[in-house]
Amino acid sequence: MRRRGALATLGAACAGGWAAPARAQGDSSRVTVPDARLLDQAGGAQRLRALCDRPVVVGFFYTGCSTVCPPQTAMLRALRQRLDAAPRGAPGVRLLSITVDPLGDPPEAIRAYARRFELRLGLDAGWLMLTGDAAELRRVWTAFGVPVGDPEAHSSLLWLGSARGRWTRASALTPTDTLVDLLRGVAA
Amino acid sequence: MKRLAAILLSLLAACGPFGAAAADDEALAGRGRALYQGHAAFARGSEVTALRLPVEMAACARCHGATGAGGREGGQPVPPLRAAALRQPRDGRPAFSDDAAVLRAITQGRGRGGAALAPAMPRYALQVGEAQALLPYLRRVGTDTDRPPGVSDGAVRLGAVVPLGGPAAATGAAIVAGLRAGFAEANARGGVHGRRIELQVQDARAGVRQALAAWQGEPVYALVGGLWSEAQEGADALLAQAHLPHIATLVVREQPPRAADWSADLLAPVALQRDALVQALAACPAGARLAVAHGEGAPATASADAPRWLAPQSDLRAALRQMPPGCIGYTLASAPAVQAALPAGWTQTLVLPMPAAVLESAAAGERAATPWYRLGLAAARLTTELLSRAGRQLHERALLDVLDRMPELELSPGLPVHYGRQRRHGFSPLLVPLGVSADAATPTLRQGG
Repeated sequence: MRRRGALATLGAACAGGWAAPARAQGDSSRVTVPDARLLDQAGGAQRLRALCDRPVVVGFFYTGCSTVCPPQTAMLRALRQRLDAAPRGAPGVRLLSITVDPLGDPPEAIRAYARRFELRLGLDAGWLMLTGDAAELRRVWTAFGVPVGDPEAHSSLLWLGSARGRWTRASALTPTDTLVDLLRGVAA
Repeated sequence: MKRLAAILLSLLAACGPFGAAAADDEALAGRGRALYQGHAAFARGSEVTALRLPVEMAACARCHGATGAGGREGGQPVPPLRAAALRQPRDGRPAFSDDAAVLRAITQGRGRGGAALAPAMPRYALQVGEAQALLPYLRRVGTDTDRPPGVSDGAVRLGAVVPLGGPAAATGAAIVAGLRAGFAEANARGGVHGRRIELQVQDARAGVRQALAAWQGEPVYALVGGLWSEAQEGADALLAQAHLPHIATLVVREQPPRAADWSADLLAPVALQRDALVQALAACPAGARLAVAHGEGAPATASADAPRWLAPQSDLRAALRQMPPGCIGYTLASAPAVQAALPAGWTQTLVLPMPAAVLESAAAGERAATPWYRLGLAAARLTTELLSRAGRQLHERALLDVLDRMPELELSPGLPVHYGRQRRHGFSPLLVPLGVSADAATPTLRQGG
C-alpha cells in the first residue's frame, strides 16, 4: 500500500516534470486556432482550423535545427507508431509539425528532412509537416505562443487539443506513454 | 655497469607501456573526434540511438557543440562535455567519477550520481571500439590540444584553388598575389592568436577533388578566395563531405549558397544582380526596357513594367535596332557585348556584383592592384578577421559560425561586406548609371584580369 502510494507520487512528479500544465485552468488554456492558409509537405493547400477538427498534436520545428528538433521529430515518430499500433482511447489523432523558418523550409526541404527520418506523411498517415507564407505562419506562431523572428528561440513544447476544445501543453520530449495519456484526456 | 643496465631496463619497461599508450591514445582520440564531430558515422547507423536518429544527426557535437561547451536550444539545457566540467559537481549533483561513469551516461542515460538524463539525450548503443575512441577524445574536447586538420600550435594552413594556367592564368595569379599580400599583413602583426597563416595554392583546372587529394597528407583548415566555374561538378558537395569551409569564394554563382552549405561567397549572386536590374529598369521613363545577363532563369516577364531579357551571346545588334531607344541594364560579364552593339540614345545601367571600389583605377604605387588582386586581398582580410573573431579554439565550422552573427564589416575603405544566418554572400549588387549611349557606344569597361 505504501509502495503504491510512492509510485503514484513518482508518477505525478514525472507527469508534472514533463507535461507543463496548461497555462491555467479555464479560458487561458483555450487556443483560438487561426484559419491560416498553409502548405503541406507535398505543396498542397491546407487550412489549419480544418486540420484541427479532431484531437491534434501541434509541434514546431525547422529543418536547419541541429539540437532539439531531431530528437523531437524522432519522438513524434515513436508517438505516431504507438498511436497506429494501439489507439487506446485516442483514435484519429493527427500530428501537425509546423515550421518556424518558412524561408529555409519550402515543401521540398521538408520532404528531404522527412526522408532522412523515414517518415510517412499525409492525411491518411495522420501526420502533416506544414510551411507556408511567413505572414500566415506568424498568425499560427502567435496563437501558440511561439517567439516570432528567431527560429533558434523556438520552444520545444507540444500543444495537445483540438479547434473546439481545451489545450494542454507538454514538453516535446515527454515519454510516449505520458503523451498518450494526455491525448486520452484531450479526446475525452 | 650491470647495475646501470638494470636501471635502464627498468626505466624502459616503465616507459614502454606509457609511450605506447600515449600513441594509442592519440590515434583513438582522433577516431573519437571524428565520431564526436560527425565526420565519421557510428557503425550501427541509425540503430546507434534508441530514438533511431538519422546517423548524421547522432553526432555529439550537434547538441553539445563542437567545443563541448553545451548551451540551450528550444528551452532545453544542453550540459557541457568538457573534462573540466564533467569532473566538477553541477546543479547539486556529484562529478562524474571516471570513464565508466561517463560511458554509463552515453549508453544508459545514467548521469551524475546515477540520475536519469533527459530523454533528449539519446542512449547510444556504442560498439566497444567506439567507446574506446570517444572516451579519450572527451578528455580533450574544447582544450588547446583539440585541433581540426590544418591547425597546429603555431600555424593555420589555408588553401586557394584558382586557375594557374590557360586563358584565366593572369586572373588566378592576381588573386593569389592579393591573398598573399593580405596574409603577409596579418603575419607581420604576429599572426592570429599566436598562429602564422600559411597559404597553399592548387590549380583549379585540375578540379577541386584533385586539389583536396594533393593536400591529403598535409590538410588545409579552410579554402579561401577560390575561383572555379559553378558548373564544376559537385565541388560544393565535395567540400561539405570533407567538412571543409570555403571563405570568401570568388565563384560566380547563379543562386546564393544556403546557410547549411560550407561556402560563403564574396560576390553577389547573378540572381540578385538580375533583381537589381529589374528595379533599375522599372524607373525607365520611356522607350524599350531591355536587360542583358548571363544565366538561365531570367525572371518571367509578368508585368508591363518588366524588362525584356536577352543573353549577351544573342544577336544584340539586330535586336537593339528593332527597338525605340529606352533603357538598358546589363551585368559586368555582358558589358563588352552590349557596348559593342549599342546604338545611340539608350540610358545605360550597369550592375556590379561588388562595390565600385574594386574597379577603381589603381592608385599610384599600387601597380599590381587589378580588380582580381583587390578581391584576393579582400578575401584574405575577411578570413583573417574571421580567424581572429573565432578565437584560438577552432573547429571545422568555426569561421562559418562567426559569419552567422557578424555585423557589417568594412574590409578596406569602400569595401563593406555583410553576412548573416540567411546571407552567404558578402557584397550586395551595385547599380551604376552610365548615362546615355553615344553612337557605337563606348565607356570601355574591362573585366579585370
